Amino acid sequence: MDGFVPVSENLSMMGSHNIFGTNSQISENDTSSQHTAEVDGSSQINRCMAALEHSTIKVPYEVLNRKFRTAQKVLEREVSAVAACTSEMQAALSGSPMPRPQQLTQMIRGVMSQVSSLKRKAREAVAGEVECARAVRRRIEHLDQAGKGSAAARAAWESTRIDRLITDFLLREGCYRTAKKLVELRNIKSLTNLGLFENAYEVEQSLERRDVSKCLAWCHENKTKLKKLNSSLEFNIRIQEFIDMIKRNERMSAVWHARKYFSAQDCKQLPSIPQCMALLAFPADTKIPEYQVLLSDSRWQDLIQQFRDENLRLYHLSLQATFTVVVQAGLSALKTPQCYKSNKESFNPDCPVCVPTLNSLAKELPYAHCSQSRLVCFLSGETMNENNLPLMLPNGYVYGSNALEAQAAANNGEVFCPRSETKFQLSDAQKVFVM
Amino acid sequence: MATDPRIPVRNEIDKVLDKFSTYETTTLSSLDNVEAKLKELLELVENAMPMDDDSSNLDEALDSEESEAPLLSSEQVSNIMATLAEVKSVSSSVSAKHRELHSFVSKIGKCIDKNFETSYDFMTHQTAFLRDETRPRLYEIICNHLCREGLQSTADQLMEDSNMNINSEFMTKFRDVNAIVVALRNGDLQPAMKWALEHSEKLKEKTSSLEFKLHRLAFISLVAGGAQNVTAAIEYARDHFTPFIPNHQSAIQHVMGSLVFMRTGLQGTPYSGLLQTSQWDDLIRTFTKDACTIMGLSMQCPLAVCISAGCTALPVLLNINQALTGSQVHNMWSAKEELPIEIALGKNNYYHSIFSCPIMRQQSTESNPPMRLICGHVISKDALTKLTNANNKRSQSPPRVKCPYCPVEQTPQEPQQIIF
Repeated sequence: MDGFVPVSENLSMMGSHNIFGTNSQISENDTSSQHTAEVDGSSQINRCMAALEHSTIKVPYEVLNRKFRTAQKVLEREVSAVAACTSEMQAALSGSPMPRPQQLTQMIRGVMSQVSSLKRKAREAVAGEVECARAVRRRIEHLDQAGKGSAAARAAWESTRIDRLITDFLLREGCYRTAKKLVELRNIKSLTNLGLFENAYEVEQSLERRDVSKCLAWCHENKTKLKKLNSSLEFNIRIQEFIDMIKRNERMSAVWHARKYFSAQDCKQLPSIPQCMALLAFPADTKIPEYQVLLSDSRWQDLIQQFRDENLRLYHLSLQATFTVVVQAGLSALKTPQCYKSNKESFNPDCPVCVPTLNSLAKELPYAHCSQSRLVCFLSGETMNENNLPLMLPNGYVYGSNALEAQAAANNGEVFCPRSETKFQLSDAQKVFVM
Repeated sequence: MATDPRIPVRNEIDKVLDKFSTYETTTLSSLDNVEAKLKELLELVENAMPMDDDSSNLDEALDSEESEAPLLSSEQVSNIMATLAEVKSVSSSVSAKHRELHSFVSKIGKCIDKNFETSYDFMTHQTAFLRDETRPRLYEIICNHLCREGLQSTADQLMEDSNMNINSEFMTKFRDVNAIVVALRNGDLQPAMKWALEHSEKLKEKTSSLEFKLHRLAFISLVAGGAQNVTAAIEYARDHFTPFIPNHQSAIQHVMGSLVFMRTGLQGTPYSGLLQTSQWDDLIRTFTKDACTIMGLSMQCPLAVCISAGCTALPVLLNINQALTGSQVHNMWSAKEELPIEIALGKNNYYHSIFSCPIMRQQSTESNPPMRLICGHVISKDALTKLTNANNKRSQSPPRVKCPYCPVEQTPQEPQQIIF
């Protein structure tokens, strides 16, 4: 565990921003749950589950499915081996001459060893499949913990959820090592899909080094599924190899390569072939834009991105990370016009949308919808209502009566407007009625 | 009432586990039976063989006995064939029964797809949220989050992995704050005191109680040290408490009272509360709050707050998206200025005032600010314009506006723009 101790604890939310450091003992001691999502009603939890956790469960299921298919193939292979030597023995027994005892014992031992091999492989396969099924169940069991237990337990579950979302995002972005570190430090290996992306990471790294062998191996491994998805990845790799040969001026090899790999493609891929073949006629430093594009190094990045997308599709994962979706939804739900005022006077450092980085990210997102006014005192963060009447100072700025009265009491009836940096008398403040 | 999506999936999984267990106990164990039978067969054949040490002689002997009666009776042969047939059928059932399990396995997948949301298509925008220019910002936010969570090395790894120019201003600021907090957790007041001295003016501006609390805790540590610290404690109080008397008089009086019990110790006295670790926790909270305020940082991680809000908002949005499908106005995400539905995030997430005009039923914006009529009632500027125009139609000169809530009238120039 890192030496740094977390400064902000999830448990105690400090309440809204408090500029003047007025008596905030109340908000500091308020440990009542601030997360409305999981606390009120299991219906809310159910909706949350359905909305967010599809990939959490689906991925281990896909692993189970793959394991099943491989197991089925193994079993069928073993069964046909048993059938073969059994048939052989049956044929020998019904033919003439009758086999000698030694041959018989040999054949029986042969059948026995095949049967025992079948037995062993079958048990192994089932053990593997059961373990996969249990892994799916464990994920559900983790989800079952949502909203249960003490406030600390609930906060820990939500903190884990954030870690899961971030890990998934990082893995999809190719930041495998970061994801691995996070998973290890937080001990959430069984809840994330690290293993799935480990192989992908190796392929990506090899592509970064312009080495296509691992990617081709991956394509071969997943041939049937990729075909079903109409994947053009392998073809694009062959094209890239062709282009690289031209770059190295190995034009003869390029021609052989093309003859070997380009003729067997289906109609969909055909349009790109003539253009690539034409590349043979041009030097590697050609200035013609259409061919410069083909020769550009950025094609490697495109290959990596295509590989990433196909890997996701292979496991039936959505192309958008849940993390980005949740962040957008959250920003939108928090976004108010006050966060985007041109003079930034309503800047509240506790408001996530006011934080400069998030502010620019949320610029194009919809605002939150609000049907009823809700007023917050800029000085204290308290709600302004009948217990804390909103008062307007002569310059139009409104603050809560509690905060203003406290100031006036300490300063001979004088109050200070922080946004206009002007002093006023409390007696000059006028009441404001908001329906 | 939304149904729990976890239950049906769990049921399907349990079904599959059950099926696999049955498969193991019936089909696979039938293989054991078959193995046993084969063993019997082997013994049978071996017993039927003539016992002879010299195997080469045996071959010759057998060869010469070609025309002799066969080693095995026809009954034995048919037994062997029967066993072999059983071997075949049992082993083929191993793969056949396994294949049957597939429908149960794939049911799990179908159940998952049915009960959990698979796509977020509604959240499409003309410009993608995650694109080359926004990526570094998103990574920065994650970095900062990791930093706040005490995962400094992971944040560094991300900066390395991402190959991007990530602004680490926050991380540097936060590192300093964190170092002081770590010291406080170890009972070391010095770094905090040094920081408080450096920022003394700003702390005073914000009427913060941090400096007093630091000195108080130092004083208490002396008192708790026992009677030998009496002089030191009193001197400390004299040197450091004086500037705080105007604001913290009663607190000072209370803590000075603890001197009485220095010899016997504070346990069991009215001052035992001063020794508790909660004093330190409170100090850490105060320091964190003040440090964050002065540096313009938020106290809670903004990413965590955002994600929490998103987890509440997303189900609501998915729900409304379903309801909107089929209607003309489908794309709620891009074109609209506001979300089509209100999302209740709870009081703790009210960071700004929102004024919703009761007449126009719209949120106030910079171009449509709230206006306070001279009677004190507030309506939006657009509403004011609307009411003015409506009144003008009655050709009154000069134009007067009547408040919608009370009989007070005024000219259109009198209402004042307010800022909440």
